[in-house]
Amino acid sequence: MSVATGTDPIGVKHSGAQPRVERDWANAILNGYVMVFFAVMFLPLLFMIAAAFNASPTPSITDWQGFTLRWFRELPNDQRMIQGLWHSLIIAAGVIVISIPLGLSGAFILTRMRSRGSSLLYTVLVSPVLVPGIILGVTTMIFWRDFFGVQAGLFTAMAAQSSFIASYCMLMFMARLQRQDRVLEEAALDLGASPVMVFRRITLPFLMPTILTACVIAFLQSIENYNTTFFAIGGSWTLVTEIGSRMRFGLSPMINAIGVIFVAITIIVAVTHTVVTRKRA
Amino acid sequence: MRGQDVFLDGVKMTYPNGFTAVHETELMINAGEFFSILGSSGCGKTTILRMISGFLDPTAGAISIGGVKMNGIGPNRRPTALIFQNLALFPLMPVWENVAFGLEARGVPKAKRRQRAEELLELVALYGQADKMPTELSGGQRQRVAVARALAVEPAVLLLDEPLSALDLKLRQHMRAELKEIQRKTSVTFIYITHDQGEALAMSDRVAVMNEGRIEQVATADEIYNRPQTPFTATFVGEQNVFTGKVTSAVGNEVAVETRHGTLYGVNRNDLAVGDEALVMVRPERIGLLNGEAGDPEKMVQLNTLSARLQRRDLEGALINLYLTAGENDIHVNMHNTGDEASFADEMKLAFRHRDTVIMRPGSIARDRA
Repeated sequence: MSVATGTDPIGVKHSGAQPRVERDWANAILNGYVMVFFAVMFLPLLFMIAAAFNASPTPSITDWQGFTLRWFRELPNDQRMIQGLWHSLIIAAGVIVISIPLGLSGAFILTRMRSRGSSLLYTVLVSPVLVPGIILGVTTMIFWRDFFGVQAGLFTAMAAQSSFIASYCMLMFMARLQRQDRVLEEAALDLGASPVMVFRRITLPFLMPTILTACVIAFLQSIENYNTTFFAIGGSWTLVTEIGSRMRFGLSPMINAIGVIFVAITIIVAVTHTVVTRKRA
Repeated sequence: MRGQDVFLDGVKMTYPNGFTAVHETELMINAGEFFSILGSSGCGKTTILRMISGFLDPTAGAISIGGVKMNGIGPNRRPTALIFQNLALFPLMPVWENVAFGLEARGVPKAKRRQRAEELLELVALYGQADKMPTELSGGQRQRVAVARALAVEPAVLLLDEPLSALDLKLRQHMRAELKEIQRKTSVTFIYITHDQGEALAMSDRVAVMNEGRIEQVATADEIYNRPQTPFTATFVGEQNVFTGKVTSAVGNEVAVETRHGTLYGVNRNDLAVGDEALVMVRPERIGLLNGEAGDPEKMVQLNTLSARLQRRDLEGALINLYLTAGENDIHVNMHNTGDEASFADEMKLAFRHRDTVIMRPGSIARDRA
């Protein structure tokens, strides 16, 4: 190799590209890794979906007894499941209604009113994310029962979930607010807008995409939550806690059918969200 | 729209960290005037602007607009409108809603708002752009939207915080003329903050030069340039060749200063007395070359002369810059390109009129010019 390698006749340096053989190897390894990654992620899901259409009375894909929609048809007749789904949706709606305003106000306090107490307040407000879900569930249940005489049920489940979901929302709102150009609010104020109008016309539209995202995340977090809900809900149940308790008595492919519906809903919500936010941007 | 006067009565601003951005200031800005505050960054000019617009409360003194004290009145209830340095157009609203925002805040119905926005857009030569988003406009167009938006609230005082600094030179010069024209049409009081002396001198009825929280001089542009009152103003606005010396005679309105380069004469505007330390200043374009035949005896009497050695000659097209040294003084001479190339010798005799020579007591000199 000569000393001049990497420099062409007019003295311009090459951008340091790797030799072709090495690059091929790197690509092969990367491709292999990506394939394994996706297999680990999605193969169980595919098996789960396939088992939902198998006529075998226990979930299986190896013991294929023919294609059927029976498990989907049986689903509406299972009153406990339907009731659980209904509970899940009520709780999720409540969690959104509680978490968005709480998260938003926390984010405003932490980004706008910086003081010596800010970092302490931040730690306190974020801590529910770090506390194990069981503890959140149990403490919420006890707190409401002992201090307010509220029996464990849908409301306590809602409160317990909101305690950590609101923190997630707050973190998202903080990230957005930190990127805001405060001069816009000053400009609006200077043009005669009241603080309420500044919030309604300037700050809120700026936050809207994040509010939308936070709603979706809060909804998904709430629907799929098991441990916090299980300990806070008392005698009531959600779809997820119901599935959990049935695990003890052996599985029915009906649970796979529910899984298929959930996967479908998740994909639809995610795609809709992407489309909507892309239109706004 | 009718402009109102702005009066700063002993206004002072000290920030909580103890830094005094503006020292006690008296300033009267007349109604309908195009007034500029010129100074380098950190001199306190933006603080003054934010106090007038109501975003900052002065720690002492009072600001009156149209004779009404503004203490405790928020920015949304003052008869002022501010054009921000980065314009601060609302990115999520179309142009017309931006322009009509102030009217929306005042509860004007939508159809009326739209109509008024169209009128204002016409005033700033943006007719037909009402439904575009701000990001779809060019820099100069966005600039004009900001002006229209500020004018929509019919302010008595329009405050402009270096609004042209983001534009390129050509556009900036064009916008200067437009702003001046809009000011003339509307007769609103314009208070223009800038670090660019070209802008300040070209547009303003009067200019205030600021340095380290104090106003050094308030005067017309000609006055500031030709008859600066402080060494800072003299050196911050335009360029100066500065010599130091001691006053040897002060008779009538003429003062003579003994310098290393001989005695230099000028008009005694600053009441200097014999024995005072003095700065002698002359602008590069006021210095001429003295060659053999320039001997009109009557004019000779009024000329200061100086020998200098030519170091460098830069041709700038219509102008020629000569860089010379006389002893340890660097001298810059700026002359018209007359095509007479032979006139530049190594050793040259320079001359400048007494009346172009500014003489004053020493003081702080601008380190970087506007």
